[in-house]
Amino acid sequence: MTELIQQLVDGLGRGGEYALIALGVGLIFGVMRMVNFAHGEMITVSAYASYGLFVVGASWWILVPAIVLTAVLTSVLVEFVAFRWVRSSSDFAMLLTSFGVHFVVQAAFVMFVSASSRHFDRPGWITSTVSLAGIRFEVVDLAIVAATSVSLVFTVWVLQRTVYGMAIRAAAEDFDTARLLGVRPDQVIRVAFALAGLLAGIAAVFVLMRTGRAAPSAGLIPMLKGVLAALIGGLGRLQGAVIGGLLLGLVEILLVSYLPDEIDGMVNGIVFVLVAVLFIFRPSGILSARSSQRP
Amino acid sequence: MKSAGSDRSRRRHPGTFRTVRHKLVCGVGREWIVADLAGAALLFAAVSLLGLGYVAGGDGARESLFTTLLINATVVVGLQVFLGNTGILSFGHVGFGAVAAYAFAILAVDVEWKQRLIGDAPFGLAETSIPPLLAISAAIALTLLVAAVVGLGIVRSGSARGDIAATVITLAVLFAAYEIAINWTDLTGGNRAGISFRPGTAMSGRSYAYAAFALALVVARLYRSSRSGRLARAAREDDLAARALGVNPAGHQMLALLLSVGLVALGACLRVWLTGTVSPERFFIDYTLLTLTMLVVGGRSSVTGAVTGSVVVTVLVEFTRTVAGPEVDTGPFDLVIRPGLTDVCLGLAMLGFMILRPNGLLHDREITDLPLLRRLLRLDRLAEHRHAVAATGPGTAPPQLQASFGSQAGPGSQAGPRSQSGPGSQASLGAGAAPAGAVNDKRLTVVDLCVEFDGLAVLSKAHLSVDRGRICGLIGPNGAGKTTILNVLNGIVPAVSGRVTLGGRVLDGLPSHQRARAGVARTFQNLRLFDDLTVRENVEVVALAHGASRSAARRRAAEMIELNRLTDVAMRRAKDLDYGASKRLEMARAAVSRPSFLLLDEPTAGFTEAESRLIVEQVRIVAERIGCGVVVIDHDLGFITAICDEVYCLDQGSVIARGTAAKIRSDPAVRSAYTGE
Repeated sequence: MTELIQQLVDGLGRGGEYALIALGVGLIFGVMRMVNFAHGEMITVSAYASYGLFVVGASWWILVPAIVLTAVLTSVLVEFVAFRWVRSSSDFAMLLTSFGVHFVVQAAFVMFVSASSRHFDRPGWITSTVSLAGIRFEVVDLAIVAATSVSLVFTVWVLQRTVYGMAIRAAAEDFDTARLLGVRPDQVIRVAFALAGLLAGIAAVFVLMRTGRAAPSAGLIPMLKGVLAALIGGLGRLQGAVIGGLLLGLVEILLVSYLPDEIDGMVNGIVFVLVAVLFIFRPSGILSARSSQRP
Repeated sequence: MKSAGSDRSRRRHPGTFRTVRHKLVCGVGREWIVADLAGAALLFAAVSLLGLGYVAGGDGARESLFTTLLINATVVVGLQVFLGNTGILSFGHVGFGAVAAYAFAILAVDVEWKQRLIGDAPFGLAETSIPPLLAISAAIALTLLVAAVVGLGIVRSGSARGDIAATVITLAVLFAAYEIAINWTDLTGGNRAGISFRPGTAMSGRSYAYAAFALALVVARLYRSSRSGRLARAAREDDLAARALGVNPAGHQMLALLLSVGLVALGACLRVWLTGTVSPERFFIDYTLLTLTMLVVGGRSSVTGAVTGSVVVTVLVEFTRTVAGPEVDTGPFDLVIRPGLTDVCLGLAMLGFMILRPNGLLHDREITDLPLLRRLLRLDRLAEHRHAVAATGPGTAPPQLQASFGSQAGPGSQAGPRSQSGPGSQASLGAGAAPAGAVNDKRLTVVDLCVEFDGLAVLSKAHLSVDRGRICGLIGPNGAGKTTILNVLNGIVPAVSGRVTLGGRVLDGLPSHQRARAGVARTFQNLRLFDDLTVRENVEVVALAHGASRSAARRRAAEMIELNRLTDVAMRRAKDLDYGASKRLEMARAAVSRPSFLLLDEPTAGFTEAESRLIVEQVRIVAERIGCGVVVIDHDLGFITAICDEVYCLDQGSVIARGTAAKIRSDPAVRSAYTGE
């Protein structure tokens, strides 16, 4: 029982990270109808930014806001440089554009820094645990659960209460109609990317605290998990992204704990196959979006 | 149109002699096979000459680079078969390649050497070894088996709801193959070592690479012009419209996947055999990037594009290697493990093409589309000749069209007399189009139809009954449920309750494409053409979907194109048409399937009154020619009055009036629905 609760919290911690990334993927899908395979690059770039700051002796108090800021800037910049130009292209072109962005960023770090990863110190408390009611929790998991909750509340507030948020939601429902009603596409898309960058930045903080590592492909796996989570929940449904993320985190933790050791390294592959099987039965995710589209 | 018919009958005579002579003269009876084989041969010759010239002036490194190019081109052409024809983005083909590569290496490495690498391999694999060619065949067979299983998932999620679910399934293939290769060390040798051949037993010479490349070219070209390839491309352009017009994409996507994976597997085996080694990284994201870039740079919709892209990107990669300098040089074989610059350039190439030229250098043009080559190969004359033979040959003549004018007896007893207010209204549409006796059971009926969206009733107990040969109008204010009835009729929207029958056959529960084949065709209010296909292809592909042979499809398409005044733009892409021509193409495309019932969704929307009058004539002519019934939605009451035998008025999901147009116009309930009085 105790073990199960520990695993649940562990899973929620991991799932929280995925949820933050998935929410960004969902936001961008909402305004652009594009699944962003470059969504992990925010994490990669902020990893190198924090490595650079670490080298000159900055503490985590500086690193955390720097990571978040870098992620936001990267997100907006990528939109400006690449995605702006394929806005009305086919799905195929948009997917490959984001795939291309992913590669250019990754290869640029290989070229200009190194193919091998750079390490920096993780904060001292990262491995410490606290006991609550006889159950030991990792502090970082609790921190993630707390930060995720706050971020989600913030996102909901932005989406529900601010003009930009309403514009994003309207655009996610029906972009063309929103445009006809005066929503400015450039602005909505930029705000969506900034918000997605912010959420990815918060996720990046925890990813980097856990790993203490900057590598050219640092963003790949978190991005894939975020995309999977968004798809599991049903693209275009923001609450679905959160549910998908948490579910994915839980399933992973359970797989890690209960799979035999020999195939421990195959968790990612197994998760992929499970999701693929899910798609065979529910191609549009668990919370299927309404299909009342007018042909 | 009448003159076309009489022309045909004048020319009708036994076609056997002509066919025989034609085959003697041309050797091959089908111009598309000539074009495909010639196209493959030309590409093969061009690449070979280029390569031989390059190799002649250099050393062994050039030799192996050229062989690598041939193998990569085989893989890229394989990718083209699936990505180009179905439009589904796949990251998984390299994963399938990994399966084939490992299967090949495990089977083909000699026993003694294998004992040192993977002595603990399960299933007794460590003790057996088979000759390389046999091993390649076995590896391809195994990979096809895997692909068939995965393919079930891909075609199920298919392109119907956006490609993304299918794309993620392919990603799963890539990652699963990679992780199995890393973790199942007994079988695969794990991450670092992988499996390598005993030095000196790797492939030597280029003959296998040549053979594989040639095979890939022929398969890709033949598939491209095959019925399956063309139907897959229709679904690529618009899945929903393709289904509504009778195409069931699943089988075609599966066939494309299997052919494609087969070629990729062949290329992967040769890649392993050539380099003498396989490891997880060699068939993972880097190789995916390389091959996808090759495909999209050249143009994914054409085989020539795939080959061009392979050559161009190979040159680019070699150039970046030279620029990057000798210190990063790790030997001649590997194009893809080079760090940094090469990947940046590949990524930028992919990005640049997706942004500036998403269709690649060649879009869907093939080498045989060059006017000079067409003339040299006499492709056009072959086509004409073939066409003529087909048109006059026995058994290929179209069914007699007996759309008779003024035939006695309106088929439905409940149908009122035609309104006499429209031009040409005395020419009542004949009921004799179908074989006598079958006429009266060709009735389309809708009974007690209820449809809900999110609990909101859109249709409640709507009903409709149309006989073949009659034209029935559906009017009503916006949101009355008119288009929804059409959507239910052809299976796009499910009904909560109610029944749809066609000639006594219950259609409820049938998927779109089966309804289309049962005889219900439609047009779309907001144009859902196959944008990237030409006008002729748009029409032909629907005829193909309804079982016409390729020459019959061409002839039927030509007839419909002429009937709908599209002859001048027949070779233009649908997306380049003006609005009027697009609307006419919608009609031609639906009509070419010779449906029993043609459903038209707002054919006059966006037209002036004078243009609407032309459409009255067009609808009549088309309906007469194919002898079908018509259900037409429109807001233009003048149009409706001019064309319809009977009119239904819908309001808030129910039929509030039915009868002749004149009667409907004076109906108080209709007036209040329209004006809110």
